[in-house]
Amino acid sequence: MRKIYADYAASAPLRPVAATALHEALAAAMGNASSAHWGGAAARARLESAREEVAAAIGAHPLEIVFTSGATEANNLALAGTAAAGLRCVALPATEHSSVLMPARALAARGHVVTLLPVSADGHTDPAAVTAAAPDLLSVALVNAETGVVQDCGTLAAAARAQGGIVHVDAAQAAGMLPLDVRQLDVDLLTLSAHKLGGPLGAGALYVRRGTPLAALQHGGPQEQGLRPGSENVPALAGFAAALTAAVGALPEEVERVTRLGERLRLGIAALGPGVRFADHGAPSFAASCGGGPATEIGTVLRSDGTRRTPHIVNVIFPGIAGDSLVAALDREGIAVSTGSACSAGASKASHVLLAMGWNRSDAASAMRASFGWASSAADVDGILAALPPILAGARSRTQEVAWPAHAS
Amino acid sequence: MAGARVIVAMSGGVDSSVAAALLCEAGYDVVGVSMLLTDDPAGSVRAGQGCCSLEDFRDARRVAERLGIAYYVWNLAEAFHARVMDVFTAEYLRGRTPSPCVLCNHELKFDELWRRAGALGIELVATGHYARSACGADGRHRLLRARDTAKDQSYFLFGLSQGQLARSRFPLGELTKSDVRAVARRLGLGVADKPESQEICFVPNRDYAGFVERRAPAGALRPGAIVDADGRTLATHAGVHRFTIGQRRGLGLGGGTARYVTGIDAASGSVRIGVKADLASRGLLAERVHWIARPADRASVRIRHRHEPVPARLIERCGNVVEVWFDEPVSAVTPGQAAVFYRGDEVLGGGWIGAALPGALPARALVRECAETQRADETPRWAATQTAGGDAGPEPRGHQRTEG
Repeated sequence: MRKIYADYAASAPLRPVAATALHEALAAAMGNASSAHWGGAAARARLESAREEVAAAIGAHPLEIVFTSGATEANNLALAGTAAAGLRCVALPATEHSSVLMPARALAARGHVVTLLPVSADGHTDPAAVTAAAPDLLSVALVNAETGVVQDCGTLAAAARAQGGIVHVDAAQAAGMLPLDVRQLDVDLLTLSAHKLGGPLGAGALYVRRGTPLAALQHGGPQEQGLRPGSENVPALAGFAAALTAAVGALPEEVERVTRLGERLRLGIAALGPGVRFADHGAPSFAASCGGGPATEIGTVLRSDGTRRTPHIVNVIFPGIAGDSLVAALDREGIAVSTGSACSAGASKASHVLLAMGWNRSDAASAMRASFGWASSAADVDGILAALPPILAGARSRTQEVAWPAHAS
Repeated sequence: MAGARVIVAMSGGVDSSVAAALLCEAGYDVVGVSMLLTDDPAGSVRAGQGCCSLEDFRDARRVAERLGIAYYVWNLAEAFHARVMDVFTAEYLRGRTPSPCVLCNHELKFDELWRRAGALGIELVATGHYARSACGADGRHRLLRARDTAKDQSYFLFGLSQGQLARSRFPLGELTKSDVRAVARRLGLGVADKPESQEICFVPNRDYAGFVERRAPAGALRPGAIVDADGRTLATHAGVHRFTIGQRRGLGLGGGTARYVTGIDAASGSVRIGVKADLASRGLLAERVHWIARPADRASVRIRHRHEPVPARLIERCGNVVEVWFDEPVSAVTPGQAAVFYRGDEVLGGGWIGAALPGALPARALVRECAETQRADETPRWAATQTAGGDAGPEPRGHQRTEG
């Protein structure tokens, strides 16, 4: 059976350049990057090269890059670290990733003011809500991991700044798909993840604009500008830098290809019948900006209402069909997709993102997310489209039964 | 059946693990599925709860890896809450003692799980129940007790329809528990010596009262009186959900002769206390009766799991009500539990106990005149509950055991 991997938003396969960098660094690993001897110096050289590469990829200064174990740690550092440095009031869209929501909830439990900003049915936050919340810190994901909705970070950031706030952008899903420039975005903190764009697991970074109030959450060493103690995972970070550089270097050609794949899937799924809904209500479109438009629009699809989404994430709702059984059925056909939101046991649950966008609980538990990236092909899309009809027919054959009688309760 | 696809409901315990293993050996194309029945499995690990925890899922996953089968966790929490837990709570609030495993089998494992298996094109559902099913010459499917009668779990399966039985597989039906553990050891399954779960899986620490109190709607918990056989108030209590027929402990009456809960009247909130002899009943009303075999007028009737079936005469009344008259009195007929009818090893059917019947056999006056109350079009759906708690006969069993 040919295997199809369409779950890049969960984790992307390792890019060959990243594998090479990882292997070389592992083979050469000899010292601690903090050590004064030749072994340490070699490790330090790789580490600082990686830091420069990552900084260059997002228009930052190398000393503004704090390496972490991944996006979750970077998001925790952004929220809890600014709170520890004295910020009291946080606002974030209700559709944020749990690695932002949960730290925010923890802050709320400690008496901080946390405002969950509502989103529209298409997943966007109204800047007026940011203005009303007047947060010390606005945290927003540029690309939503479940739906691919692209928030208008520039406008939201401006609204926060007008109230004296600073801005954190979670770019874990955006990096490699959208051009990122921290100056252009005008952000103070920005999260990156290695494995979402073809780097190794266990590596990520937080961009920290100089002068941003931020305190370390862990203690134990002076590494990473004192913000993240512990000996750096140099091989993983070298792989991260290589993957990010490759991804940025491939913009916009790679994104243009992935855009075609995503739209091909949307068109094919839309043809499966009127009962099928896209989570972001976005219709398939070939009006994608694939290099023809302004640079900031690369990697996004312009929708008829002027809002944007990334093409590489397709979240589709099959009403009445549980997402986890759909994922299992595709898995049996060798196809890897996800429900977009999994609980600790690996089962799907009603997605908080879809609930926030106004979907009911049943629909929010009936979502399937396919996501594409650097190694995806049209054959992958066609394989998914070929597998779906019998699976949907089988699932629907048993949803038509008479519902159970209500209990007396 | 080689090559046929089957879903195995895997709990992470030794029984369902071996059920999956035996199906693999028999050549089935096996997919293991665990049902997630709570919204916070991580929390249940922290609470040290036995069932449906991340620890159990991990065990099930490791078994599946060992067997080389696909394994998934499916979230059935909403269906479980609506169709099992809410019924469980409502039954206790009605002064009854529910048997949730019966519902879980009928509504989750052999219904919701099967429906979801439709996406995978899988028709068969297997479990680790100790029970047997067979197809008779007339094409009817029969449900039989397990060969190992000490482990038999057919009581919990009486609600299965013909369609559900047709698609069920019970690979452990011919085995004893020690056979099952031996298979697990032979195959190197890590769960070979895992202890059995004995509690209702979704109630932590056997605290039924606390569970009901957390889930009861506002105003549903009402204090009441503990009264003796003559109606004199002996004490007060915090709610009828804290009692079951035959209960001895927790009555707050001090020492002296053993006294038991002999009746619960949810309407007035009174809990009646008596001596052991007061727990005896000659009969019971079984409601929402479901027949697997053809209706019979005699059967051995089991009134709770592990109760030795007692010979009885069955008199069918309309509206799927059956009067059950025991040849000898039985102790502690408990409304809310199932009364399951057997002939030898075969499960003929069963129903939910609505009330104990006092007196002796031809007590026709007790039976409602159903002709007028019964709507002709009312489908005899047996599903749980309904009837008010009413009085009831007699005895105990700290509420119900599970392993359903």
